[in-house]
Amino acid sequence: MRFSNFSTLNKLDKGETLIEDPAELQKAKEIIQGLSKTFSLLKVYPPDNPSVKVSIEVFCERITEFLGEYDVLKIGIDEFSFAFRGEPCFMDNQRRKSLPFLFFKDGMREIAFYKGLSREEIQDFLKVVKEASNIPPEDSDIVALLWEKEFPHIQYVSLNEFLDSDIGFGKEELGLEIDKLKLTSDSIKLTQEDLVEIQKIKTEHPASQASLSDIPSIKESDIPEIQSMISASRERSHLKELMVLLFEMLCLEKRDEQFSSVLNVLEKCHYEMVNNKDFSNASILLKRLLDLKVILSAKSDEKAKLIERILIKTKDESSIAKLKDIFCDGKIKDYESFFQYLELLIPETILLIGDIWEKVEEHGLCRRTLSFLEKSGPNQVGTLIKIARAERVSLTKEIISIIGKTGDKKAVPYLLDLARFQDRAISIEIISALKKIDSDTAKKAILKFLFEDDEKVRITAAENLEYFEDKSCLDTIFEIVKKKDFKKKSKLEKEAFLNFLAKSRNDNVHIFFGSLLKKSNILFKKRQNETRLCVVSALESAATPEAVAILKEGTHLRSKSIRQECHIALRKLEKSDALKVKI
Amino acid sequence: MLDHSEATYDESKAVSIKARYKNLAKLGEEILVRFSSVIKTAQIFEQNNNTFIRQIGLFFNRIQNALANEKEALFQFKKNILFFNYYRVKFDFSTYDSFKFLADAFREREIGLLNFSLGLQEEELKDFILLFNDTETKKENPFEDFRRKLAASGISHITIEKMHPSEILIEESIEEQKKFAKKVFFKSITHLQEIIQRERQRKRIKVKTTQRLMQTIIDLIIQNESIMVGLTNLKNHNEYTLNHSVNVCLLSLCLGRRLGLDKRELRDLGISAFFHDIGKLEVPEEILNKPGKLNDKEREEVEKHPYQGAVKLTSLEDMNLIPVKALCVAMEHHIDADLSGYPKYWKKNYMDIFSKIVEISDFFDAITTERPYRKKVMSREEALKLMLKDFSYKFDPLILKVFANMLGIYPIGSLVALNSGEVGIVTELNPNKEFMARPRVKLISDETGNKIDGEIVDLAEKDSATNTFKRTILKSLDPKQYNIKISDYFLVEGSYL
Repeated sequence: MRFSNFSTLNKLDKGETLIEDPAELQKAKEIIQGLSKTFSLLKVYPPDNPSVKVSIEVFCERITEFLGEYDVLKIGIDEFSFAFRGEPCFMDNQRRKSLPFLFFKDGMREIAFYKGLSREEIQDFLKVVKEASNIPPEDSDIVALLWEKEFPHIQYVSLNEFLDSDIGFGKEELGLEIDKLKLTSDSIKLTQEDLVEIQKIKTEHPASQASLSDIPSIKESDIPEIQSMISASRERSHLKELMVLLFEMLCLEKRDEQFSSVLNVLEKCHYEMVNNKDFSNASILLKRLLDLKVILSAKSDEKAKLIERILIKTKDESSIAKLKDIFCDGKIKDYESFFQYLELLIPETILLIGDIWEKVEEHGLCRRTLSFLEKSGPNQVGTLIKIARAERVSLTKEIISIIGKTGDKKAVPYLLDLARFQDRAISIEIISALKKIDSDTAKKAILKFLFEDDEKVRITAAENLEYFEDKSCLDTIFEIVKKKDFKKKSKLEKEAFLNFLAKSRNDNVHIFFGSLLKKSNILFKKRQNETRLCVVSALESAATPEAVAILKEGTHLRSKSIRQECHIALRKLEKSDALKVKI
Repeated sequence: MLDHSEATYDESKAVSIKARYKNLAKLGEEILVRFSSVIKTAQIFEQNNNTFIRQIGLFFNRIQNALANEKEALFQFKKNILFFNYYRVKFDFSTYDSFKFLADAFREREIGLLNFSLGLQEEELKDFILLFNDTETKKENPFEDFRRKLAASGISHITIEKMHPSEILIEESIEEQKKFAKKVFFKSITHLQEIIQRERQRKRIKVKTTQRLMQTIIDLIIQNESIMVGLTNLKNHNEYTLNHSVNVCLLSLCLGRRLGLDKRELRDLGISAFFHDIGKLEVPEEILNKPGKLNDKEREEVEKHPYQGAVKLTSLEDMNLIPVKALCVAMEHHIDADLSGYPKYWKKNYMDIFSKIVEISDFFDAITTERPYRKKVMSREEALKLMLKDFSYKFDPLILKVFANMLGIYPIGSLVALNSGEVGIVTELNPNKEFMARPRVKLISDETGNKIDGEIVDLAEKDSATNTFKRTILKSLDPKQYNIKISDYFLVEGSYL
């Protein structure tokens, strides 16, 4: 039987069973029970839970007091019980939650707390115990965890029976038989060569001591360099290191089966990075995978296909859903890397942006989300449209704007489709986007907004209208303006429509404008007058020779207000360069 | 007893405790370094020498500083841990030598506690250091002898307490340590052999057992590094890869410890070194053992073993228990410091410190081991010289330097001729760097050349009458020339190495 940790050469002290001080036993019992109670609480509650805190506090106080009096507390460990000096103090035979069993199963037979034990040490110890209990029993190893922590005032005795039970069980040791006698019989006669050399050394250096110059000495300046080498190794992320190595292995591996198995590890590594929200390294991984695919495509179609399979999986439905969960969880530390990662998975991740958008305001990430859309959108109009929603007005507007910037006439049907949301802001954005697309289709599409229920939309449409080859545009406006109820529209709307007509330089429009100015209706005098004033304003803004001619005619009309407005408009036109240019 | 209302943990108190511990750690480290320096100086210089006087002054100032702040300056040594005022003093690369030196000094004198108290005078401290270094101290009962002398000298502000009996390394316990170390050594070989078999049968490998094994080896190194370094002299030619892997593991762990790696890192390093050549399983035996020069195809096969090893490690069922660094080491142990060697990397442009450590240990063990293709097996000193001179470009210069200092001028296992006419084998290096050429030596022949089961002598020991060293190494000898198998001396039971 062997013992590990600090007690490699110690035997369990069987003599420590005699209890001279009953008070000591009582105190020890209370501490042991307190430890078990704290452990039970820690299994259920987080460390900042008040009950846990109190329990730890009580345990700390009791054990510090005990160690102050008795220097050491050694607790014997049996399968389901703790003992103090051979006296059972605590029992819990439910394997799953038993603290004695947690210690016992990994070979621990005694744990000792020594004077000098600090609160921090106790808390770290409890953390280790909790960590071990959270791992499935077959995978956890409390001895290994305590061993690596090197608690200065907590020591344990554990069996090293694994050496006999786990290694070479039933096998002969590989030890070589040595004949001890051979080592002491016979003699060593130095060779002539060695004797000569020794003689020489004796003569030349009577107080000989081999020269230290062969061994380079460690200088003060070496210390920081070595320490920085160690720090660099410590700081390197294990997952990143694994990824880097896996890529090197993939580059070197010629065997398909092994290539596939390494690739599987890389895939796991990727998912672990994603789960850890380490999107910076996950992005590097994806980029390198893409690079490697390109390199391998020329050499091995099979390997390139295996990589492609992984790449597809990174953006399948479940992966995207996972990313959404991670984002919604709100624990991402590096959003820039997160978005960079999403950019690598376009177009699938565009769909995710819709969900993200709803949360970004609280994260203050609108700008980054928009830049993601701007980068990804232009080539993915069809996908972008899918995330537009009536309830996501601002996002939908951004999407429309991005589509508009493409200037691609193929986008027109998509834009028109968004008009179904019947939202003023969205419709106005669509009109603005359509205007940016240099095609008759887009111009025609704006016409449709002239019949919207929303006046503001109709005005915007009219204001953004442009002429195109097809006469239908002029005809449509003409038709609207000629309708009896046109005069009932607001001044702004009338102006928008009439302005458009005024710029057409169309004879029929001129005739129509002339007749409108002359027209007077006693019944609707106010509205009629407003329409006529709008005509004057439209003619002024058109600033064509034909408009000037009509305005001049207007200066002779019966209506004083119209005459005056026509005069004013003409004077303004005379002063401005607009007319000269147009003429 | 506390009730709920009383049990509020004072965070600010915790912060101040942490700050105090931090100060204590710094103070303890400074005193530790000064303490070891002054003892080393006293071993070399006379008491009226200026260097010694200056060192005493520096040490005295540090202690006064501690006494002014802490009211006490108390050193404890238990379970291989040094405490200063009950606070553990951890070592790193810069303080390793001082730590090791002081720990050895405490253990040798069986001192468990050393207390400097208020009122201490510089002269008193000087007397104490001289007594501490008194070579006439009895070996049978060093503590009692020292305490008696201390009481007689009138030193009143420095008190000592004896080490706990369980920690005193008596002859039997050292023997037991050696026996256990050998067992662990052979168990390690068996374990690797089983791993290889299980891997071939596609059975689950017990990585948890490997972890435990490494922990045991590391504990043994902490207790007695010399025993473990000595075991690397064992060479089983029939099981070269297995034996070599264990040797590389031991050498790497000793080197890693000197560099200041913590226990967890050491365990990872041990596992990495243990598996560094696992890729060789893929290389046909006839190529590995080919006596002559390899042809291009064979060389190509051999050069695949690093990444094949890494691939093998990734395919283990318990891969999550294998440290990532083990993959690094498997891949990189033939890549040189300038990134030449093999394999050639695609993008990676650095080597991990673990790979650098294992590369050095691997090379050293390989060239000191007989192989069918190796014309000459080098002695340990020859190997070290070769690495320092002709192959220095291959290795990280700083780590190689630490490795060379770890092995010393006469590495453990060196066969040496002494000025006394005796021949011996180096068993332990002198912890004082100034006495690097004065290790502990097991005498294997007397002055007439007759083989003996001699004692282990300390070459730093002086003859009190003449104040000269009793024995000095004149020359290292080639064991092959004298038909001496060094490993036999490390293997044999009894009062041997």
